[in-house]
Amino acid sequence: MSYSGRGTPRTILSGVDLVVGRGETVGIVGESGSGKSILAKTVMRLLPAGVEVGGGSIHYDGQDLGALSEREMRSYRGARLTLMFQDPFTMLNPLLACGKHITEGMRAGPGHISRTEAWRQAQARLAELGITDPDVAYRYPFQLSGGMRQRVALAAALARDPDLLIADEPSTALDVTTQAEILDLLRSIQIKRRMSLVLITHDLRVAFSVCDRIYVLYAGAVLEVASSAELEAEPLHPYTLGLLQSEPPADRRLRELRVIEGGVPAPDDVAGQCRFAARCRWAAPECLNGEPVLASVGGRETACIRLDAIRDDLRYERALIQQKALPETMKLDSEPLVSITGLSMVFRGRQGRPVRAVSGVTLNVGHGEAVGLVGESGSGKTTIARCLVGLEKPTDGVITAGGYTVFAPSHQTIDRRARRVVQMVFQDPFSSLDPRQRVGDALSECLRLYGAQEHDLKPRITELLRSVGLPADYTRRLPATLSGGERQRVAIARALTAEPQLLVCDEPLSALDVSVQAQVLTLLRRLRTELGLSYLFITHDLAVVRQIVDRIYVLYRGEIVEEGPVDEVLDAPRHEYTKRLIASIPGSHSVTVA
Amino acid sequence: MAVTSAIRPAQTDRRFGLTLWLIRSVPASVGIALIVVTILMVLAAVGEWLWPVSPNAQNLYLIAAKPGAAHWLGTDTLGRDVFARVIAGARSAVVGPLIIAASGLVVSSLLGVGAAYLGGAVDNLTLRVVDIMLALPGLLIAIVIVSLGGGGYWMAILVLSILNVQGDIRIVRGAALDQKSLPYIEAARILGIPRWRIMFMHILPNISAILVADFALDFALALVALSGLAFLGLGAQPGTPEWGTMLSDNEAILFTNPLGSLAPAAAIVLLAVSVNLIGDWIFDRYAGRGRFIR
Repeated sequence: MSYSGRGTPRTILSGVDLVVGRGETVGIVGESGSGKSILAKTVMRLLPAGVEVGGGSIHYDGQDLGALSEREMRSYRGARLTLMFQDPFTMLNPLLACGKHITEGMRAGPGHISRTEAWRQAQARLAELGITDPDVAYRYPFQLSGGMRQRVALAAALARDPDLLIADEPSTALDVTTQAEILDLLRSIQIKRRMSLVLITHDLRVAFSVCDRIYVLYAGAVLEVASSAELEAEPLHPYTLGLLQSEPPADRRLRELRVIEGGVPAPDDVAGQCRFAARCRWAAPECLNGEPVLASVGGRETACIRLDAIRDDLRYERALIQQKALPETMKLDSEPLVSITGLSMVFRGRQGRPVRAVSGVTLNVGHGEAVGLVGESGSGKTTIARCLVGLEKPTDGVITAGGYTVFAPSHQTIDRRARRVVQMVFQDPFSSLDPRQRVGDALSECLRLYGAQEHDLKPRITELLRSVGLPADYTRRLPATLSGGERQRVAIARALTAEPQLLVCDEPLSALDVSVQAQVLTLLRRLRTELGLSYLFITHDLAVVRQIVDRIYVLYRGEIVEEGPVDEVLDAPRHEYTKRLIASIPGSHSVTVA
Repeated sequence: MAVTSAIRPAQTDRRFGLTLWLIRSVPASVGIALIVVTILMVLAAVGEWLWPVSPNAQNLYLIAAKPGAAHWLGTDTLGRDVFARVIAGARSAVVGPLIIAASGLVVSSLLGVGAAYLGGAVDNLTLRVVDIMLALPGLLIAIVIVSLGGGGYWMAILVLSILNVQGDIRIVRGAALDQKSLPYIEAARILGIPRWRIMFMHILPNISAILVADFALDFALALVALSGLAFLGLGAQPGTPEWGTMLSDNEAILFTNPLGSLAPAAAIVLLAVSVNLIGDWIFDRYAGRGRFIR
């Protein structure tokens, strides 16, 4: 199987050559905007309206897929090659029972299969993917968890035993432990069936743990191709190195995170030159002279034309990732900045049955301390954050911040002075800014609220923007014109208008691209030293939490099961659940499939 | 492998060339509608200066005359110039619906957003009142009340203004409720921004597309309702030029000068359809802007 082609103006992908061997697992790694999902849809000939293949061809087993009629193509889809999407919550039809998703594909194929036989087979397929309860086939998608749905979707994709499965971010929307299970499952199914697998992901660690060979895609072109092991050991393109550096390791803290500045450009803006040149530390005039093609280097390929000149630098930088720094050990004051004692939250669930989201959580954050709160979705970590900032009233418990009461059984409303102590940064920077409010207006609204004088506004706004690394002329911009990372910076600046002592960060990086994640993480680290901020850092990502906090709490089903200095907890976990969390980090290879 | 897209990403910076952009992005039907509405607005404002023939001058020697050079649309039962009366009728056709739609806009903005954001008792009370009003057959009630009150243009406007708000409140409340759960509103709450600011400086601008579309729909419905009341003799004082009244007055001469009633009927339809087209277009064009482009 090979795909090849040439580029044209207003391009999404250009000159991408991709070969997938039989039984091989190939990873396509790239940030959003790199064109990786479009690549998958191109192979399936499922491109959205207005997007066309400008040149090149796709061969499958010697057959040119582009030459097939739509009718013939349909007989290929599902039967020979198949595609599986990212979001398990929308890719199943909510009105169809799970088994039906699988039997539908089976019965569409040639040869008659009776209904009962198809259902029997569907249950066998589900069992193959670890769903042994035959009842699941009769349940509807909304009755299943994300991981179960992803398994059902996988079973449906495999219903007609295709030779090639393209999985587009199959684990991104899932919890960490579930993510590891799905990846292991994909790997074992692929080996058992001797099927080819194309795994599309933004996460190098995921690609390393599953794939044989990896294509690094950037702004619509392939920058590097190598086997997983080679790519991890020695990246031969500055962008790959940057990606590696942007993904913090889970087993140690880095003294300094190297980040790639800026964002992924539109392919047309960087046509006819090295696509990465504008963000590359080693860019030279010749990089802007013509588009580099992939060149063979010892059995692998890279599009960097300066490789010979910078190879030693790349090696050195790669080695830097191995550095290790110790988290700060804080001398804690006797009085914590924020204290949460015996916090419980009971929601009224279906049929009035009480649902305990949080029970008896006690948590302290000292002055200037960064504390992590880790756990999976549904563990109650967001509920704790919402109670702490006064968005929700807990059922029981006492919360104080900077000496002011946020909540106590006798004080049901938040003391307004506590708002100046605790502020929050949200997960989704796309919806946490008022889409109709210009950046400057959003900041001045808050500054006025906290008593800034009119003549003081302009310099304060400039100063705030500077401190989050944005130019002063961004005051005129609307959120829609900003990238995700820039929006998150504005959101941080807005929280800083209150001059808080504690920032509650609820998954502040998870909606961002890998290289942008590192930028924001670095910003948060810098703000901590500059402003003496404390953090309550809520995340499911142990690698990120390792980079920024001193102490962590592990939350499981609404209860804190373990707490302590971040190194102690992550290096020598005591609780069973913490061990499971750590084992599920991609690359740790210690999870067994149930 | 090369893949290209024919769709250019939407331009984000529209500070320059607004007029040019308007011309390029407005579909023909909406363009015509905009022209129709503009002309009628101008006629409503300064019609008597633009068309100096008096709408009330009677020529009893020339009753129900066919269209001709002297009277473009002929004359009516009292020998008055139909064209002049259609032009003069523009004022009552525009002013009444404007007042009704504007009052709906103001009341629904206050109560709809308030009910959605404040919730609790405020929401409950508002919703129950709205439910009761929705259960009433609006136009029938309007006919009864206006005729009991002795009729009249302003009476009709008052009654329709009140009977029109319930639907608006419902729509605005729903839209505001959508916004309320978004993180940017929660962020504003955490920052301690006062409730009135959140309601009217944050939520309201983000649902403005719905408000505008709602306004247009109200305007069209009010125009038809007011014309209907006028047709039933519950409109302006006899003699005042009004499209609905002309419709019923000239029914008697439908076969001698059909334009006497067809012209005002066409005017009503034209204005109602135009306003609706504009409202729909604004909604389609801008409703998405309150959401988030990824």
